[in-house]
Amino acid sequence: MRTGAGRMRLVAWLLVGATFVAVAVVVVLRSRDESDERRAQRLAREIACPVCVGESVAASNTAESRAIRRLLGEWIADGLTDTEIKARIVDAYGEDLLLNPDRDGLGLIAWGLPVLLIVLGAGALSVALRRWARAPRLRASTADEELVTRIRRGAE
Amino acid sequence: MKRPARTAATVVAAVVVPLLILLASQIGAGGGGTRTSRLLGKPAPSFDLEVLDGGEHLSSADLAGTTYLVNFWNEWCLPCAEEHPALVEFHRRHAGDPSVRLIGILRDERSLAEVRRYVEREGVAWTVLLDPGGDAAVAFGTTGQPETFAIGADGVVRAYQYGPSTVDRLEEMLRAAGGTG
Amino acid sequence: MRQALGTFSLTLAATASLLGAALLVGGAVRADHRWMRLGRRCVAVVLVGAIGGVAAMEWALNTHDYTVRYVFDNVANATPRLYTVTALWGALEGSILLWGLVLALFIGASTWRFRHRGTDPIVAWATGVQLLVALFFFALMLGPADPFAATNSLVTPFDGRGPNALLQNHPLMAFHPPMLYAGYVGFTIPFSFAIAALVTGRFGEGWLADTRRATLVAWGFLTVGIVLGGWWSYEVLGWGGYWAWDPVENASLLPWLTATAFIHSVMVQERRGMLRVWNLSLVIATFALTILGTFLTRSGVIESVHAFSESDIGVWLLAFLAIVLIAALGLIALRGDALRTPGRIDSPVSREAAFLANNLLFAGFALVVLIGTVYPLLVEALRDRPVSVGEPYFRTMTTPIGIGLLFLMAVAPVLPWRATSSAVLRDRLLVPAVVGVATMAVTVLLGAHGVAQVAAFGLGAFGLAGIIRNFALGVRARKRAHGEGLARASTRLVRGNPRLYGGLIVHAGVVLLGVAIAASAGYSRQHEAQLARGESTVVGSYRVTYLGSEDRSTAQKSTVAARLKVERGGDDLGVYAPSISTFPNFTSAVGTPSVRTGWREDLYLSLSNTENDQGQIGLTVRVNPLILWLWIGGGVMLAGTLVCLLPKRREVIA
Repeated sequence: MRTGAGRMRLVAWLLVGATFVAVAVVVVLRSRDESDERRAQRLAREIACPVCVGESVAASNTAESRAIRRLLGEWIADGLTDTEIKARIVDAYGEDLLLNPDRDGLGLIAWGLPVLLIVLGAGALSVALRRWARAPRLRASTADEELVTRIRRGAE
Repeated sequence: MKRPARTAATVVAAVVVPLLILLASQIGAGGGGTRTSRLLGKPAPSFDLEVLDGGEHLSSADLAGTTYLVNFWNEWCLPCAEEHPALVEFHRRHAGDPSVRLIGILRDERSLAEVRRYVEREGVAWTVLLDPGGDAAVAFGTTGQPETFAIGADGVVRAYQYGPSTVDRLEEMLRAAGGTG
Repeated sequence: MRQALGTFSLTLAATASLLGAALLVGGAVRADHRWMRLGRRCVAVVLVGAIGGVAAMEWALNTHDYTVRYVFDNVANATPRLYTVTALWGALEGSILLWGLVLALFIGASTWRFRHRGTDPIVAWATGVQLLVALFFFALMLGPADPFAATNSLVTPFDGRGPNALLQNHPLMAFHPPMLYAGYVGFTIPFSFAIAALVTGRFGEGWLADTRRATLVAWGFLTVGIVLGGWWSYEVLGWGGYWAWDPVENASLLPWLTATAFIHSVMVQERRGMLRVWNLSLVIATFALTILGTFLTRSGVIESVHAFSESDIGVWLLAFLAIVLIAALGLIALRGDALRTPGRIDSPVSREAAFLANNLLFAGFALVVLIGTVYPLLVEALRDRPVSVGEPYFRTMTTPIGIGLLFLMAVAPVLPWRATSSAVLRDRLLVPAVVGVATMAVTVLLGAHGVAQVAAFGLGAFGLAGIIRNFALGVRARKRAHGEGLARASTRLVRGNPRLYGGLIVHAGVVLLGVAIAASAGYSRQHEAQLARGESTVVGSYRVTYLGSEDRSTAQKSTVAARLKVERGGDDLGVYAPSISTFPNFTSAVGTPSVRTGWREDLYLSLSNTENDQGQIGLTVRVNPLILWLWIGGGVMLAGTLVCLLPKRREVIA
């Protein structure tokens, strides 16, 4: 039997759920467009500054980085794809300048290992939780069972 | 699992020990080795830049058919000043040969007025090009200065020098590019 | 004279460390109380030696004694007093000297705190281990990292080179490194007690509480150090960001992550007696990571703008790290299983389960950061190809983990210990969930984009609402029970359970940080322009006009500042002046940004080049949202940590 308050809470939760779904849909759709400016900034973060040590082109102020940032803007305006832009950088400077580990061979370790370990850990955790929840905490001893039976019989 | 702590510790040790050995091997080895250019054996990037105080332009197309050395430099970098006499001597030796050219491209200069004073004072007799946006510097993949590239008559990059050069090194680069040294 | 004093002090400290460690360990093994007492006395000598060493160095620095090479390398006659003092930790040898002092102070504090338990073998072992660590660092200073080495020139130089330009640009230099070191070094204490527990095969009374408090203190320092580092990066370095996933930055984050995991899982040990060996491992891992971080930044293995210069110190540090790890792993393998107790968690919907999930995520986070930092080394060793792992990798991998942590943080305080029914959970979570989803809807209606950003906003609001609900319920209960006013009820509430409410305050700080990070990562804008005098550029709602440049020279540096007028919607917001400074003895110039901080966003102006021949300056304008809330969040975390450390106020029921 659902009380009035309980029904209101159910409605509230349903509203929460519905709003959440609506918001999620809007956000996902909205995130599919990327403005030119944001794209340039994202690419600048993915390309290393050739002169510096470990900084991205977005973060460094050297002449090289400024030149590359300007070129990124031009190339995006010219309509080049990400792959084409990165290919141009690689032509001049080699792959060292791309800040993501390669998606091959050793790179797989960098990308895959953490994900694998977290997934395995989550699996182990849920198995353990389920095993703990299933096992009863206390086992009644035979003396206890007899006592309960006696009381029940006495009550009838 | 009996003795989970022991098993876990052994597994972790099996991962950690190789990592430690790996780290040991890398001590003092931070960064890359000798620098080489990715452009070696590939066609030189094309450029079209304004000549310093000349008003006209010089492009890579104009240089087609000649063997030329491109030297990225500026007025404040100390190794550039170091290699300057070598460039002067190299230029003097080949000044009369139209099939060999030496081109300087300014990279990350601080003051054009200072550059002009340098050119006059130090006797820079070869063509100096302006690269205000750094387009040529990026296209050639430069990471500092001085950097020198030797390009053959077929337009392919044949030799590369990172850092200051000597006259002998410049001659060697010229020979690698097919010019007569 | 100063060199002699310094070297003598260090030798004294090293010898006392060795002697003390031997006495304490021997005393613990032989159950000899006299040895243990003598060993404790040695701690005072170590402290005297450490203080003497630092005093000698500061004396040499401030009197410009250029016969000491460290002074010559790091100070010049023109260096202002503040930076002369901070030069102590500006370079490698001096930073080890500071480490030694902080370590000696922590050991002294720990020994004094446990003075009444001095005959307990656990305390003896722990103090012995602490002194062994101290021995290592003082030995470093007598060996490859000698801060008092002489300048090798026949004539005493009359001026020094001066500090690195970046290290004399901002007063924050006075606080960021010492805070970090206090954090790093502080973890030595819990580590030593973990080793003591493994060696003696038992935990001893108060191990949990003591180790937890010591870890919390070190964690607090490290948190402040990391946030100050972000602030320094933002205000001083001028690249517009506060975190670059630089190997040195990652080195400070790694122990923070494992320590945070420990702070949570130790609560599970307190209530259920389980996870003992796991907690020991976390404490040991935290300490090992501080040594790894020290190694990475000082050995020349990784190039970084942060890294100290190379020296032989790398081999020593790696050897020490190897000894620590192998000894600890060996102890766990041999003794770990004896310390385990069987334990179980009653329900997946309980706070304990949430803490286990918390540990999983923090461990995963630490793994990502570790792999990302070490991966380039792996590739270089195996393929001899230099490779960089940068922000994109870390961003992609850590964003989902961060969102997961925000979720846990919002839900866990609402979960009761042991078990609950989902009905109770639904009741408790309803209001915070409504707040969270409403916030998401509002931000989306206002134009927010980005899954991570909107998720962070929603979860942040969810979390804050839960925290406020917790406080409100507690205050209301007190008011009803004792008839107290709001202020009194709140203070008494917090004093009655400082760990819970301090923790909630820290969580509130984390929410602020999480939201600020999400917003600044997703919505920052950047725009570059070349401006001649009188010209202006428009970014977002700001108009920036270049007024002119001015030169300023001191003996320390010469600065060219570009004066910029900033307007928004017709209102004049003032004149801001980013600059570029050149220091004698350093060829590269240092840019200093000018930042207009606001509650909603920062306007960040930096100069890429001073006036060129056409009279134009190169200006980069950035609009960074919610940056101020990063620092506020850090402050709230600090406040919460202090509250956590308050002693519990026992009520007298009249």
